[in-house]
Amino acid sequence: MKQEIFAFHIRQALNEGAAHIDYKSQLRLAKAREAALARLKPSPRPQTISVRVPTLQLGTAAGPSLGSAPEGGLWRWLRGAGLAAPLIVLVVGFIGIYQWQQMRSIEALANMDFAVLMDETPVETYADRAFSAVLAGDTGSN
Amino acid sequence: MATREELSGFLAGVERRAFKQAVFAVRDSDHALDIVQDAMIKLTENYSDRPAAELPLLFTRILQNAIHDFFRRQKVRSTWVTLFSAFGNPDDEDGDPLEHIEAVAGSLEAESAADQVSREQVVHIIEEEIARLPARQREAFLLRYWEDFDVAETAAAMGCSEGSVKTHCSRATHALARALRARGITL
Repeated sequence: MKQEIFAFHIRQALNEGAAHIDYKSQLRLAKAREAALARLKPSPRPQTISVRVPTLQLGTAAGPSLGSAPEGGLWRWLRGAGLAAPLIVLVVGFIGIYQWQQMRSIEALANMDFAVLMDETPVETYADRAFSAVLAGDTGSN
Repeated sequence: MATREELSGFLAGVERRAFKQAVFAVRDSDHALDIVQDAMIKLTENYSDRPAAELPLLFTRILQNAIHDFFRRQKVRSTWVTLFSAFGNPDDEDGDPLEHIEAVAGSLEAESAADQVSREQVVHIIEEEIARLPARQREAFLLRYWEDFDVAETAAAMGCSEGSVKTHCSRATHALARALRARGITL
């Protein structure tokens, strides 16, 4: 604490001494400061930031577009189509798979009926429970 | 990043203390002004992109390094002079020149009493005694108690441990108090 008080008095004396620097030195210090500031690098100019907007972004719903994309109706239609196209492909694909499965099932049943009618069905087949079930279903549906 | 105005304001606020510190160290106004100018230029050229809050510590480090460089140049110069001089002293020691800066043995005519001298004289005597302190002690004392750095900042600026800063400050305070008392000044 004593050291702090002593240092405080010294500090006051030093501040007083620094406040009374001779004029010549003051002038040179000011010149030195100006010379230093003259060498200051110019601050970099703010750069333009370009943001790419994703193709599938829904223009009006997601807010204003920041890119350089045209804002016409055709562009909006294309972006809408871009989102809908995969969905359409998916639905058409499911329908196609369903149809193909149906065709295979019908064809298998037809082959089996044909084999029964031609009496080409092996005897062991009649012992199979699944075959009986198929025949029962077939007669039931008829 | 510090703006030009912030940098200018900072330099204007710190230049007098920096000049005084350099004068205490090199004891020559012209050399001190050169050192301060070099430090200012280095700060603006190399560290102007730093935040304004970092400037005091950076400038202090640059200033202290500039003072150390001055002494190193002096030592190199004196070495060459010694080599080419028939009267050179062959017993010169190597090492950090700052460790070998001895206080100028001035006349210590004690004043009769502090209240008999004017305030300007007291300030002048205090400055003289600070200039007589060993370099590292003076550096630590001024950074800690004049620049108002804490122990860690002072250690960072001086490139030494916090323990060394405390030791230097304590020794400087005692030496200064003893010297001022001998000249009739009691604070």
